[in-house]
Amino acid sequence: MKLKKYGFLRHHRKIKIEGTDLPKIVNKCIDNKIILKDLKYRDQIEATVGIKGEDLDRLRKLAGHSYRMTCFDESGLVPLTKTIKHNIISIIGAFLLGALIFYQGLFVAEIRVDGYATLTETEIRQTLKEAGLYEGCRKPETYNDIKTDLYENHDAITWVSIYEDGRLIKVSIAEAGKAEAADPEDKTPVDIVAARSGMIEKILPLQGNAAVQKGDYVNEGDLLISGAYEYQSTDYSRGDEVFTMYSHAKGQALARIPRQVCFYMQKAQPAEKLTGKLMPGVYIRIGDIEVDTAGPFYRYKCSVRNEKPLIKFVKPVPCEFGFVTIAEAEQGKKYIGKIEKQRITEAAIRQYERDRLKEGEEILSYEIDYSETENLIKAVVFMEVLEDIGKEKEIKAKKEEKEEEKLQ
Amino acid sequence: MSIKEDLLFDFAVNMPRILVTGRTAVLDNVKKVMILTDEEIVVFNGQKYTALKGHDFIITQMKDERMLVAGEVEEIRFFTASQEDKDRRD
Repeated sequence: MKLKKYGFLRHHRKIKIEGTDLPKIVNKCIDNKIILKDLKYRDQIEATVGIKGEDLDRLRKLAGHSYRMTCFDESGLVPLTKTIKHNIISIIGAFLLGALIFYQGLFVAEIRVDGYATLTETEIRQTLKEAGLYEGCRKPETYNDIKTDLYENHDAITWVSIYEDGRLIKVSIAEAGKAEAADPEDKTPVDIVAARSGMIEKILPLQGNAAVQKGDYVNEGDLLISGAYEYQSTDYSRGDEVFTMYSHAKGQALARIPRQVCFYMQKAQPAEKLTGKLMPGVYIRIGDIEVDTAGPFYRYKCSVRNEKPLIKFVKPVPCEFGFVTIAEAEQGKKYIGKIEKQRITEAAIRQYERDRLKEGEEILSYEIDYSETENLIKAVVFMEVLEDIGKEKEIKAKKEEKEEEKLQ
Repeated sequence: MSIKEDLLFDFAVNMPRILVTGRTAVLDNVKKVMILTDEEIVVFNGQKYTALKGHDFIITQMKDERMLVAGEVEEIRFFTASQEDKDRRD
């Protein structure tokens, strides 16, 4: 038998022999060619010995009733197979546990974000989720696409690092500091003048003198913050004359400005109309595996799926269990109601505020006027906007004064 | 050793032959075990007896008239049985 070549696969037994006259049984083994290994003398009536698995029965026959033989250890392929057979449930359990531990390692259990300053964690997590990285998702092979998404969606982000620490994903970001984005200081003498007419609501001169105050009505081109200072020299030789010094005026001039904006929306939008037929069921998701009792049986051309999770967790393995209903639907049109129309317009106004208005500017009030054509709804929005109307205008200093400045 | 002596040595199947190295002893031509304890082993080789004395004896292998003994060997003796013993054994 080939197995005999391999010692560790051979069937060996360790037995305890109890009885008087131990040499007698040893001699019987010698006569019958039974190989003995590690024969240890314990006391006058006891010894332990190793024999081949198949020799035990022969030895028992030879010993007869004079000796008692107890097998206390077995090794080799045959007992190993027997052990596996007797402990099959434990082995399967251990295998399943190992498989579970391995499988859970394929999913993200936690995401930690740090390093953000002006951005919020919610915004970053939303971007990560849209890019496919969220708690419970399968670990991506590469994070390059997610990094690209973060850079594209947040201009403030200058550096992103995503790395795995087991099932924990650590996202570190760095944002551009204000100092980095600041422009080099411009020293050209300028005034701040009104870019459009409006009622001044707030004037905040950072450099220069405010030429208007709250409540003043200004027209386009009117001076708001002056970059010219008048002063009298302390040098007596220059006399009592008043001189002018020029600077680069800075500041904000927030004024109430009327604005009119038009938004268009479709009167009817495509929508599914439920027929009333539905297929209820339950679903269970473990990692990537999904079992759904309703999914394979419905035969609807168009359907709407609703899930109501009862149990949901991501540790140790993402699992979800709940009820599902698949309702038959027909393609139809949904006409926008008054509330929906209002909601869409308000969302568009908010979007406009985000896109067009700068820091400190805001929409103070608005009125909406709707008009309808065959397929479209036109929403005309009259807004009162608090807007920075200041713009820089270079000062053309008088020649004499320039010469004076040169002399200084 | 001459060829004759060499052949006699190899084919002396009923005579004691023993090799001792450190804590291991190899006894050849073992026909019968007479005494077996952890301090003394006496074997019959066909014509003579071999006695090992020491302590912590373990027979690591007993196969084809060859006995491998591990343990501290202190004394080796060879002796023949008296005629009286022979008669008793027969």
